Amino acid sequence: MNKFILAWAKDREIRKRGQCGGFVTAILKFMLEENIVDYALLVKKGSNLEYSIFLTSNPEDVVDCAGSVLWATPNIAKFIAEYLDTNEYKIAAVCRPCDARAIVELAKMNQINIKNVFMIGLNCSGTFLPATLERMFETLNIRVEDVEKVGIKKDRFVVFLKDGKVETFPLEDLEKSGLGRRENCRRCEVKIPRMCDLACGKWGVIEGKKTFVEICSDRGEIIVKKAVESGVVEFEYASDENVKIRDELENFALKMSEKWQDYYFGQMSSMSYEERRNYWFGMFERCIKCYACRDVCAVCYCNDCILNPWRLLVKGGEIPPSFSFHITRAVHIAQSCVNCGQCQDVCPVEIPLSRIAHKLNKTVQEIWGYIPGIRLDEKQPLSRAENDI
Amino acid sequence: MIEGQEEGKMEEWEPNIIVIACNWCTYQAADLAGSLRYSYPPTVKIVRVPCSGRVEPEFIIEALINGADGVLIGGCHPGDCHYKNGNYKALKRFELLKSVIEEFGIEPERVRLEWISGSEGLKFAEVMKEFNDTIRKLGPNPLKWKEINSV
Repeated sequence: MNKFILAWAKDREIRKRGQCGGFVTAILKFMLEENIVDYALLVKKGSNLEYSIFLTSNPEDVVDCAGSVLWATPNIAKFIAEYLDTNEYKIAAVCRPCDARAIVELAKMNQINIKNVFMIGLNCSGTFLPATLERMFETLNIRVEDVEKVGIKKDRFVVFLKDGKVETFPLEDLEKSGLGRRENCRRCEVKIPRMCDLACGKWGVIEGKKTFVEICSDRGEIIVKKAVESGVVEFEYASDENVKIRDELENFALKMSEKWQDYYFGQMSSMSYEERRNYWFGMFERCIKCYACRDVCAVCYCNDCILNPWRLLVKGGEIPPSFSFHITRAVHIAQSCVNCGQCQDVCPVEIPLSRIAHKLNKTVQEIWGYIPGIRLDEKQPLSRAENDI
Repeated sequence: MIEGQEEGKMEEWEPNIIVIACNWCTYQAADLAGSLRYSYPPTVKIVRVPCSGRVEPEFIIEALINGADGVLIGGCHPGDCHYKNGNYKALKRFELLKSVIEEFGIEPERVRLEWISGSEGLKFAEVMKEFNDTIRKLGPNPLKWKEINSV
């Protein structure tokens, strides 16, 4: 089978409800029906701008979750590591690139048995925080109730209204005024999750409701073959033009990220040591030590974290905590940070934590040449102590 | 604060240097430096650890935040580790730590990793003098003064 295919669901209903052809929904439904996996891990849209992580073993439920939710920022990797026993049962998870990278990182640290996690990746050019999205609709004079779905097309923010109208706005202008995508998404450098078994998305589709699928692993190929054989999914091979368009779109998104990285990181590295101290320690003085950044971090996993008060590094009952709280956390996650931005999202006092974590990760990437969450067979630098001086 | 007082304080300031020394090499070198009567600055305080691979980044961070002006880690030469690869681990962590503290605005020169074997008493004394001079040039640890002023 060719690596690139255009696929869509045969079922009319699924095809109609899916974002682009309902391939992902059809595959998940097929896998549950055939008992290839025990559970499917999805994101379910709520009313207005709500969403929830949804775990199901019932194939019928999958259809309700069709369609992408751009304001959902679920922490799939943490959810699997924390609440699911991947040694006991098999899961199919739908994940964005950052989730997929975190799953790979956790698998390296033996927190997830990746043999039992079938990853279906979705291309992602950025997500929104529900609160920011609400503010965006307000400034753009759109009522939240009228919105069917939102999307990103190249450098434009697209709103699909329920009455069939489509409105587009320039994303860059929105982002410069503090709205737009989450900060980590602007800097994100992995847009197509090639570490997953299947990387799906609408990039590269010229017309019609189809999903462009890149098959990235052997088991991904087997599943797609089976689904095609049993008539759940129909497909055609992608032409060179499809692939070209997809590459162009990816490069365009990457260039946008590069621009934002230059902006944020340039700002940080142009500061003198004193300015850095004043900035960061001023930020850390706001900390209320809620431990949310630690608890939500996708690549943190220690059962007895060094930041717990009984480990004596951070004094119990002291607010704001000693700066070693933050510096230690930065050291611990620097090698594995996948820039998922959860730490910054949950911070109640809005410390730009993902910015520093991502910057540090970029720095050590240069030293060690290790990019987290891309290859499963590549060991983490700190767990590797060979004689390579 | 009165100007004269601050100046007085600065004159009194002596570097406070923590040396985390591997039991099998740097600590022995310090011993040797003593018995060979090589003098090294009295600002140096030595902490003995079983291996430089035992030194976690948080040890150094804690030292810096609690008032150390400089931290030096002494380990065995590459390939000489008593536990085979402890010093390689130390090196990896050290590289990481250095970039982290630089990002937060602490001069990376305040931390240093040095390979000193048990027979290098002279090297130990020289490295300590050199490091003492570096720290003297850098001045007091900015974090320490910040904390004292904010009280």
